[in-house]
Amino acid sequence: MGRYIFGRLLAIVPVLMLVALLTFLLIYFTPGDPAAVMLGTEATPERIADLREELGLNKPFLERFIDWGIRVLHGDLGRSYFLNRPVTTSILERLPATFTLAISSLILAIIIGVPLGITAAVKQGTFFDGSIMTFAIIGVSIPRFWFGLLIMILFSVKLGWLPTGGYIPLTENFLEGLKRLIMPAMSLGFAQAALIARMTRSSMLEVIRQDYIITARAKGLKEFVVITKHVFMNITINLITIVGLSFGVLLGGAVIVETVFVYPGVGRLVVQAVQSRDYPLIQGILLLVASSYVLVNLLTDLLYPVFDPRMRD
Amino acid sequence: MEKLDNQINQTVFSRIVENKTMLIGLIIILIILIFAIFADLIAPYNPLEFHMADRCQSPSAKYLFGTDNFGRDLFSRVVYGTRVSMRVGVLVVITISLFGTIIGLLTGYISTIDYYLMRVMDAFMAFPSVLLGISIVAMLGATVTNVAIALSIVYIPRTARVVRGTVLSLKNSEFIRAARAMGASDLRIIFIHILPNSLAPLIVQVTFVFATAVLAEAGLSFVGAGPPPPTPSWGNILSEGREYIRTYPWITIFPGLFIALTVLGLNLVGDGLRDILDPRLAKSVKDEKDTDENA
Repeated sequence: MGRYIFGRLLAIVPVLMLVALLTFLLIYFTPGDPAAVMLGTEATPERIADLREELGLNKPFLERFIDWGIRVLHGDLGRSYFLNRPVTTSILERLPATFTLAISSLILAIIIGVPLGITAAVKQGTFFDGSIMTFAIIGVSIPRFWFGLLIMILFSVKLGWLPTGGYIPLTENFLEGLKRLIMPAMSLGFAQAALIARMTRSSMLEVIRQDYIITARAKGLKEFVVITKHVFMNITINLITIVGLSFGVLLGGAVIVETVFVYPGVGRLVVQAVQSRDYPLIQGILLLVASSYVLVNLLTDLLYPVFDPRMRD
Repeated sequence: MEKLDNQINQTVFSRIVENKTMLIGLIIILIILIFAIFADLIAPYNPLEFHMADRCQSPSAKYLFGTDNFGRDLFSRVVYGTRVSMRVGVLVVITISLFGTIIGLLTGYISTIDYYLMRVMDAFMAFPSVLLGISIVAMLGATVTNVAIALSIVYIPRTARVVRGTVLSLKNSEFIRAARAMGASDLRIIFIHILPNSLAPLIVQVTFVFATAVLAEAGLSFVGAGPPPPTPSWGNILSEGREYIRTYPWITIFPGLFIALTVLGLNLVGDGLRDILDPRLAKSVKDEKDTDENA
């Protein structure tokens, strides 16, 4: 097991390095001069040349990449052109909001999706299966941001139950924070619940057809025991994988949903950065989000031996 | 042999016809394609034309989906919006099919290339697709082609993984070993033997990517990273309608409905293709037919 953990830890190092390289290359190949963008249209060529020298933009590619890499390892992601403050600070201020949204959506998706998937598999071919799968395919087809707008029309405009947007930390005021979190979480979570329901059903059906399940039933075990102790336990690995993948999807989906609900998270920050061509901020967010995703996948890999005894050897 | 070919073709065709949900999906996609191709004939108004006296009209006989804040006919804008989505979808599908297949074939067949190239693919897949797409569009500029390029870069690794998986399962098959024993070159084995047998999962994957690309393009347009206004893309229309959600909600409802229907149609077709092209299901259908004939 120690070898497995060490192997997994070692495997993410090249991926993280490549993530850093890709992030750097994305900005490196952006057309235009960053110094000219920072100084504006009225800057003189001499001033632009001085700033290029100051920022090290005239150095060779490898030297620039190494300098940037060393700064990143020290937590320095550069300075935002338009916010005029460190990128790291700008992102860290918004991170709690986005993580709250992503985790709430994931919990909602699991609570709804897993039971629906299990029910559909156990009742395969029946009305329940058909209805759940219809909900699931409609759920994955509906744009998250459109669903968010529709529930905003219903709950905020028509019924007046919930505010249209904003964010209050749950630790500051739980009720008001929850009121502002429900709709963004529903927008992200329902679509993901649909996907989780489909994948759970598919995994369950694969296991239900196995010989050992037929044997368990033939032994006279109650159906509830067969499903929970034998079928469900054998799909936990798949569920962990689905949850790990969902985290990345939710982080990406948060970009658009945060815009719908004026939710001050990292997603909304990257949209503002794109609109103002704030490349250091875009780069910093990309690096942070991609690295988080790699680490979440590492965590899911490390959980496999916990749920599958065969992997402990 | 001809009788067997006819039987197999009939099996595929009859399975398409028997799969009601796939038929529904095909009909939906056909309607969307008709809208895209014949937008000039179907749309009653120019999608960019202002009718300031008829601003923010609710749906009526004159304006089927109502009008927006500039008096533009929403139905015409939604119909022309199908062109943007279909163009992006088709461009993405062509690009990922070409590059995803080549990368998948190489990495699946040649193990030394596999290790390094798949680490690069893993790094690309570490970026959430919307985030990567939005960043690439920010670098390249917001046009239909650049949105397609951005989404292609996002989805090539995923497609390559699917093809690679199929190649890995095929490359040590008996028929491949036989071809090698007969002196076939690696290039011949890859393109004449492995590639045709990798097409089924690729077709299914490409259908789902088309659906995802339509969703992604709408999302990018919604946040201002898609084709800029006044281009009538569904995401732009939704974005413009957001400001008037309290008073004129129909501006939000209709373009979203079209996005949902298009993606639903593509997902239904993808699900149907997966059922039809799954050899385990095909074998069971053929066995049933053989049993009926021998009874």
